[in-house]
Amino acid sequence: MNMESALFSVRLSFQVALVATVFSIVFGCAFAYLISRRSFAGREALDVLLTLPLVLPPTVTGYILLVLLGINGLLGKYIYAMTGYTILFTWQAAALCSFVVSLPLMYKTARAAFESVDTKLVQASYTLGHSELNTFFRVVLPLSRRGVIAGTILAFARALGEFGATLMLAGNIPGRTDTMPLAIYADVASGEWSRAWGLVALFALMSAVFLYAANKLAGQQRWV
Amino acid sequence: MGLELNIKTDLPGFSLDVSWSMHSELVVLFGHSGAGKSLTLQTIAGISRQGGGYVKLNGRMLFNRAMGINLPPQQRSVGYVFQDLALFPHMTVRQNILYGAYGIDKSTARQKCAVMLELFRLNGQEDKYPHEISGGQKQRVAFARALIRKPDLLLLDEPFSSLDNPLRLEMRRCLMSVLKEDFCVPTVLVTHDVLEAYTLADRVLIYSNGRVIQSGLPQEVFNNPLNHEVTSLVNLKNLYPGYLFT
Repeated sequence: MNMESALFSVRLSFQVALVATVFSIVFGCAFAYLISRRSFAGREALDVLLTLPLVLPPTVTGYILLVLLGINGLLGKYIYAMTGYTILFTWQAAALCSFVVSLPLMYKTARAAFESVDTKLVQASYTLGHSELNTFFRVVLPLSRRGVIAGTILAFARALGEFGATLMLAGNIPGRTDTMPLAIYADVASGEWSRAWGLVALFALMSAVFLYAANKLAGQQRWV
Repeated sequence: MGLELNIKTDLPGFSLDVSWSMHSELVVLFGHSGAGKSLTLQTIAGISRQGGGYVKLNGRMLFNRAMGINLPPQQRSVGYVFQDLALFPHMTVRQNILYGAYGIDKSTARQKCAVMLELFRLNGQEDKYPHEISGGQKQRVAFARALIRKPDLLLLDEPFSSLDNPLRLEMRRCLMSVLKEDFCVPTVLVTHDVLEAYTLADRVLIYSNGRVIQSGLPQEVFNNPLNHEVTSLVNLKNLYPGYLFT
């Protein structure tokens, strides 16, 4: 029983972190590209907004999400009135929180990587007839691969470890929303030391492996 | 037919105001760096999209501020070879050249690529990355990539400046033979090398501070500089101070 619930936490954590990371990659790269290559009104404001969850305490992020998406929230009440759905206390809420807090890491690293790609290469691609989208996938992205991979790993690690915002929006419901960090907290609170130990050891080991893999992957390159 | 342009750009501290046209020939834009030569090329290619005036290529309006036309570089059919060549470092020689064959079906593109490899003597190098080949070879890859789609116009921004002298001569010969015999594409070349201008140009335009101050056949321009400014630009050695007695 103990083992089973611990395994559930591990599986849920991965599910949440994976979904959050996929969204982080898509939105992080899209915003990073937009902000690094275009100038538009509100560019600086958008940058601040995207980076904010990096410096805010996760409980504050969670509170803001709650105010927005709770049953009586600014958006949440309309969603609830129209569909009868609320994201509160679901695994999707955990995924959303993980996404919001991991997005800045993806966005910041991807932006730095995109900005380091020589503009001449992009211009050359345009004069050779390639559209902006095609140029992004065939020139910009391959050349900023290191940064994007590093950002992905950081975002995944952050998503996996998300605690504060998740607690606010998804709660800590055993068998539903108790991801590993939440399960560890609950174990310690209720004196289940052996289970806490197991999860902590697993967490530390996995994180080390990710960081090692990130360094290895980012280091491989066929060209100089 | 040919290229016709009138570019007026006002930037802080610099203004470009040039108007010239060319047919199927090699025109050299000659002058100091910062004279507006590169900005002219960028405006023709659509990389720089500010300023006013117009650019017309083979009767097709590429850019016309008054008419609100400003085609993106993708639609201009203008080949561009950058000063630092801008080869894609993550693609092999073959991939770089094929990248230039955008919109051509695969088998035709492969045939064309083989022709380009032959023409620019790159056989045996096709699977190497740019950092694995010599400066002259990189140069030829850049030319092959820009020419494989047969652009209506070729722009060369000081393409030989990074090469040492013997290689530069060889590259000029290579380019000239390809351009005159195999391609017949009107070409604009930017340089501040007198010898290069003299030997390659069908016609020379002297740029200074964003204006064309003299133009004509290379012999005309270099042997009969219009004024002191041109003389100092072409750096002729037999210039003596004199007094005028009346």
